[in-house]
Amino acid sequence: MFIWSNKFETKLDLVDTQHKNLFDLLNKLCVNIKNGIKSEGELDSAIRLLIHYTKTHLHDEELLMQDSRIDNRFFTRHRMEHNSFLYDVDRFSEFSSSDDGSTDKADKIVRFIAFWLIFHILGTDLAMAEQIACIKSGMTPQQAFETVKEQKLDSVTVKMMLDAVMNLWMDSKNAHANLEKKYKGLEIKCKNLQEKCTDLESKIQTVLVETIDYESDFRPFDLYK
Amino acid sequence: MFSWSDKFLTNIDILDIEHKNLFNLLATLTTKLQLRKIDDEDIESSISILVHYSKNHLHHEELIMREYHIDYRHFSKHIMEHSSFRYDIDRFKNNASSYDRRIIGQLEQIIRFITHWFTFHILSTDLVMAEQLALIKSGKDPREAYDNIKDNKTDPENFNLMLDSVINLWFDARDDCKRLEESLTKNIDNII
Ligand SMILES: [Fe+2]
Ligand SMILES: [Fe+2]
Ligand SMILES: [Fe+2]
Repeated sequence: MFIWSNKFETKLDLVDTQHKNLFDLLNKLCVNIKNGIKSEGELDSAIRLLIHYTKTHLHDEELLMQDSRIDNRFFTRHRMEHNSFLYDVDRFSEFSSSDDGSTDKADKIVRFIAFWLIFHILGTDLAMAEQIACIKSGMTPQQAFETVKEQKLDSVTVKMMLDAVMNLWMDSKNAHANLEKKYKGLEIKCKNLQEKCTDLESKIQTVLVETIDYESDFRPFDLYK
Repeated sequence: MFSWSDKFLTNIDILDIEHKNLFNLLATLTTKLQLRKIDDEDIESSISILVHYSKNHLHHEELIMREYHIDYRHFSKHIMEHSSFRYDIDRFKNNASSYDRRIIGQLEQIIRFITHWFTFHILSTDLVMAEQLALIKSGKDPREAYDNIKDNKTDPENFNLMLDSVINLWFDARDDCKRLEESLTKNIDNII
């Protein structure tokens, strides 16, 4: 379960509502995965909905930043984080192996989205919210950027981020180990295939040689002599 | 890239010396790599020295924990972290994604991994062990020593350092995955 805490609050209504909704979606999926309530198809569409909702949220955040004319250095970095996340999410559907089973797949992507969100809200969205607040109170975007840059995170927040990133690290390590297994399996298959090919080639060769021998014995043109 | 500081001191001489030596070795190799003053043979031996030295160190640490009968709750967790390091470092050597890569890339990867892993591990785990060992040496019961440090008084700055190294470990693992996925796709395309 991913527990909401006021540490996540950005004090921006739209953003907080969307973040909370995302937590709800993630937790519901968690329960369904654990209890095995949903069929494969239902699980798939729930995941698709989750991804769709996440994408919309990230886009809304970007619009909000543009509206409040946030410093471009921050905007670029923030959007890059979003894009790298979306890239990772897309790869999930492409590379999660089919023999994993759909609940396993769903579990992996739910964990990834949840831990990424925790990490990203605490590390980046909060900095965005503070800059927007500074700008609203009359600072220039540059001043807001410099002010927030100086601020340090409290250790509770850092610990929460640490926990999330540790999970992200573990999961990617596991994903890597699985891919390696797949890779090695593929290599073995490849080798077997190649061996079969050479085998077949040599068989064809012998057959050809035999045919030629036969033909040379037969000398059909002798008949016309 | 990384500088040693008193934050890493465990105040157990042999462990501090080994930690420092390891970081010095990493720094020397990094400079060599930057100056390109290293050939393939050098790289091969550097990798095995690094792997050997770090594994040996973990072993020494485990012996010391046993010697002082550190509380099992800490010991088992600590050992598990060490084992996961051993497992990861061995995987670098027969990593499928590095089949087609230069050996110099392998050394770079291993240096990054050991640096970030040890930074994280010393701050998060070795220091907690050191505190307990100090208490045990001063006459406390191991179990009491463990319960004593449960509400840890870690320097907040240390959490930032830990977070930084785990982020790096995560990013590197993610890049590894990407590379492997790419070569997987390429190979599948080749076969078809
Ligand atoms: Fe967000
Ligand atoms: Fe964001
Ligand atoms: Fe250790």
